[in-house]
Amino acid sequence: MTWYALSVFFADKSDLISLNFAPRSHCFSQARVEWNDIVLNSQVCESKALVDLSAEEPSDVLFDVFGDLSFVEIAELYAACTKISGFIQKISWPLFCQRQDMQWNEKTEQLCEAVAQLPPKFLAWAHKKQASPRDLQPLMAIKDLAVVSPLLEHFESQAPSRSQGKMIIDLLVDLTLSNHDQTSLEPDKQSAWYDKLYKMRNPMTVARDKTLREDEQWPQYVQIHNQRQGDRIVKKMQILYSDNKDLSKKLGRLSEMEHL
Amino acid sequence: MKNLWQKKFEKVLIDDKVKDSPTALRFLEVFGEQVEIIEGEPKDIQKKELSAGQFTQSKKQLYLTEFKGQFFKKCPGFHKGLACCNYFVLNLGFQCDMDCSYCYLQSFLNSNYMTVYTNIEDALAELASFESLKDQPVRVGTGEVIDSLSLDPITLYSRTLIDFFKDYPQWKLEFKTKSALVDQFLDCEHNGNTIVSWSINPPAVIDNEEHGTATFHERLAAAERCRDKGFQISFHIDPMIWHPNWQDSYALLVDEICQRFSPQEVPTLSVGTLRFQPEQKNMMRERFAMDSFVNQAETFKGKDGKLRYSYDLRKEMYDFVLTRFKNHSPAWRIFMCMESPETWVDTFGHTPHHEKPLKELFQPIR
Repeated sequence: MTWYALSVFFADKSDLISLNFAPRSHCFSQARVEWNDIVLNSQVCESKALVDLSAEEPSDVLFDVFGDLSFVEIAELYAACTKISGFIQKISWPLFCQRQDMQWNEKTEQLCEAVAQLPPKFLAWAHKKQASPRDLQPLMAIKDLAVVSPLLEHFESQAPSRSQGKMIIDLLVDLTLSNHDQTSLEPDKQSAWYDKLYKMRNPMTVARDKTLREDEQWPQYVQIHNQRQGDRIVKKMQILYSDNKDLSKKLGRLSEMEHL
Repeated sequence: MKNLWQKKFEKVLIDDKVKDSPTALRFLEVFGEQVEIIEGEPKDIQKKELSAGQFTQSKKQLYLTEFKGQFFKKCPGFHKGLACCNYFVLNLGFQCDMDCSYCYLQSFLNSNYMTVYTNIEDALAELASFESLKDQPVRVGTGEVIDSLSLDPITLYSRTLIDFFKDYPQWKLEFKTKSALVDQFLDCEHNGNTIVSWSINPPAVIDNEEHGTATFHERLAAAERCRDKGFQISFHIDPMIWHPNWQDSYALLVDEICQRFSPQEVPTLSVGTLRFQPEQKNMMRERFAMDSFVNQAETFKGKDGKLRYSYDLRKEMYDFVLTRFKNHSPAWRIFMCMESPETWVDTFGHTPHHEKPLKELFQPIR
């Protein structure tokens, strides 16, 4: 883009509309940018000189002004653009998304519309963790997202990692759709939020895993921990011993156990 | 009957290039004024990831065209870490007019039109070109990405394929369906190498998960009609789906099969438990919510990356069905579809290559 060839306005223009969007991280532009009577970045460059880029392709202008955006920011920008009558139709939005390494289709459009409505505390977490459309897609199964909004606000205080957050979202969606009382899904002090939700979502498996643990008898110097690895339960064995002689003796006794 | 077909599809588009093909002419006869002849592809065709709504819509929009790619492919079960059975697939279209909650097409298709290929003669020419496989024990299935028979009363592809396979006695042709639409080929002369197979589940699962499919008894009755005409019969109890009282449901299924058929009449019978790609879960949840036993399932990632029931539950389900069959008669030949060698060993005590009746199915193609 040839910035030096563009007109610069210092006088106020009363008929300008401001796009209600500010990126969460940074704004690339050093000037207030106008595109066909819409100021794209007045929220972040309020006092800067006004540059008219109406002659440019709007998807290019948006990219040059805001640069790479997180998915949450893209959703917020899309929501802001749709609020200005006729603006989104003028933007080559799929092209803009392509430059953001994102494929635009009906599925992502619906997701963007939904994500923009989510509580700010959740969006702050999702932006910080660079949550992807795939991470947030489970939420689309819930028809009224207002139902889960209070739960999503806990993401700020719980601060799960991206991968754990993704699993929590998945569990929250399943449990909400199964008509669990929303307050029962809130984090508490007894256990980690994910663990609590996992147990609620998988009661049959948790019960079976517990039975496996109780069924086996081991000597006191052996500690067995059941660990779920994907679709299987594996056992972690810990042996307490004082020296090599002690270890040999204990291993010998173990090898004589009937169930081994 | 015409009326039923017409209600099934909201839109039927035929590519101008194929409008004079026998298949297109039959569709024109059935759908009449509902058909629109178009130049090339539909204007609103999507070739990207579909939303849940678009996927549902794709079952109501039919597009007939020709296929220029490779029709004949190796089964997706042919994958490191899975025991597989020399299965090839012949795709004569894609998408399905029925709507099973667990259908893997939900994570696989990226077109908003159910598509039927009209150039079956090209598919047959491709099959005929595999000279080196002519004497190999190859199985060819037509039901991977489209139900083999749900549109067959119109396409009549079954008749063409049965006739073609008469010259390939070492090969087996498998139609795989959840419909009961078999009458259109029952009079065909065949040399015994056509298998008509049903993906089958107990009534409780069919009612809750397999929308728009034939009922349990309709499927078994269709299988009996095929058997009576000398066709080989096969049942795929797949995917087995856990639900309250699942043992009672699957006992009923096994008992009903055993009462109606002898092990000799059903040379192979496969079982598999629920499995799906993780990304499919979103689509299934959006489309069927938690009313579905599939969405209620407690699933975990297996070695192949798919979500499955916990290993011990899978084993319990396999053991239950295998034992029930073997109690009826030890002659039942059963294999597990898309399972790891460990599961085979834990269930049968060995891999499929060591089970004599199944050895032929699982031997590698040279």
